[in-house]
Amino acid sequence: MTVVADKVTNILVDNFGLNKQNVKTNESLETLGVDSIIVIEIQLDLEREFGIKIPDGDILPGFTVNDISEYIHKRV
Amino acid sequence: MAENRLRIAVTGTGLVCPAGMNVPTSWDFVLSGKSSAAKCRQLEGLEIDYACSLTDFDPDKLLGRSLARRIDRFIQLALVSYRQAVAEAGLDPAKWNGKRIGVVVGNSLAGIERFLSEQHVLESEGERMVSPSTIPGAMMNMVAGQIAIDCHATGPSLLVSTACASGITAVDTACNLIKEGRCDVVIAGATEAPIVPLIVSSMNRLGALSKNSDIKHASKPFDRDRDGFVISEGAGFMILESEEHASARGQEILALISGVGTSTDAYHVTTPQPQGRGLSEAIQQALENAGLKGKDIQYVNAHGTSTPLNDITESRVIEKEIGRHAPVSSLKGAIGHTLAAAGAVETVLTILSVKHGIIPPTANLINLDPDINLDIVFGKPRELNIRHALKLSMGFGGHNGALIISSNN
Repeated sequence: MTVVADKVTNILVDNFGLNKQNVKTNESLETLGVDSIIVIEIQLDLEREFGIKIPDGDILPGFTVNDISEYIHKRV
Repeated sequence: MAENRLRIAVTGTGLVCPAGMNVPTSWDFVLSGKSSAAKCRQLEGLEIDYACSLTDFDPDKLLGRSLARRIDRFIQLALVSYRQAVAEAGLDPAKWNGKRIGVVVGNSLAGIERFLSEQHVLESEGERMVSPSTIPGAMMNMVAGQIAIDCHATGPSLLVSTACASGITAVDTACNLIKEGRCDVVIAGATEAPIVPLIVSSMNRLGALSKNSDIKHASKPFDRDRDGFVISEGAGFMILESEEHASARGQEILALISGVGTSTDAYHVTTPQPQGRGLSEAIQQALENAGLKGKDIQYVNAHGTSTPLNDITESRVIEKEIGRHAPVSSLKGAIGHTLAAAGAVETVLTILSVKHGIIPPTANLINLDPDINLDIVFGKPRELNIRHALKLSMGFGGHNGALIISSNN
């Protein structure tokens, strides 16, 4: 789970410029300024990173890094 | 006829081009008389595998990875360039009245690199992996939209597209917004990022590109051995405002835009009208607009693409409309042809010629074409007190633009 969370955090921070501290304190994507276009971009990066398919709408703007990590953890 | 009736002040400039990542380094480079042409990794395997490209441009570092990855290179170049211009003009977007700020940008090929890379994703990974940022990151108008978002400019923002004359069209449109009283300040410029195999191959098939294997000497405007241009990329921006507005806020005026002329050949998609009638018309308009005669022009910064046809046609028009007295140079030997950005990039550098009284040499010109009867500056820079300079651009589609840049002294 930690490995997944670290990878998700890296995607959010490195690819989308989100503040690492705020991501780690489990703020939601929406709160971090992520719009609906970027949510899909994040979804595509997650799919490529973890080799899974994520249906549109599964990753929600209200998700935190923990929510995403938990979702990914169940799928891999 | 009153002189300088237009008098729009230029108070800021920005450049990102193969000559440099900002205005001072680009100026030093063009004065050196060197060429920025080099082999390009992305063109490997093509007949023409070289260009004037921005090898030091790091969009992630300059704009942040999040934004940079969602916008095409032509928007990245514009954002970096326009920010320089705003800073030089002493303007603070956090404090200005955004409703009075306009944005006018010239471009021709939109986000071609982005479109092609997403086409590759579509074919290799399937439809659902195509980025939702493809359209907003690559559509032509979005460069104006991104600049407006970046600096909260809520006045008019628009894209103009007249191929290689787009930069001058952008300045013309911006001047009109100011003259009409619709804006206090307009961010005006042009950008192009065309160095992708499809565009280079297509330009080559048109016969527009130099095939010279001596890469560093391939772009040689006005030379008897010229055989085409070297494709390039970049962005040039200016901050334009009324002279009164600039003076009221105590801002240094770098130069004045005192006349603009535009016309269309209505002749052929890529070939200029043989007598250059459209370019003549544009020059005549610009002179009339400024209340000047050809004899009043001290320097002509030519379009000077290094193609056989452009340079001879343009030279004859300059000789007819301006005369032989004015020194002429082309910057494309040094920086190549930035296509839609050319008019803006070269206008910024012409502003420096007027401000500093120095004409950059035409790089790579060794043997002047004997059919060109003009005083072409080459070999080394020339010092000259310039009161009025003329900048010319011509574009596919028969677009012509002429801009008169005047000293503020």
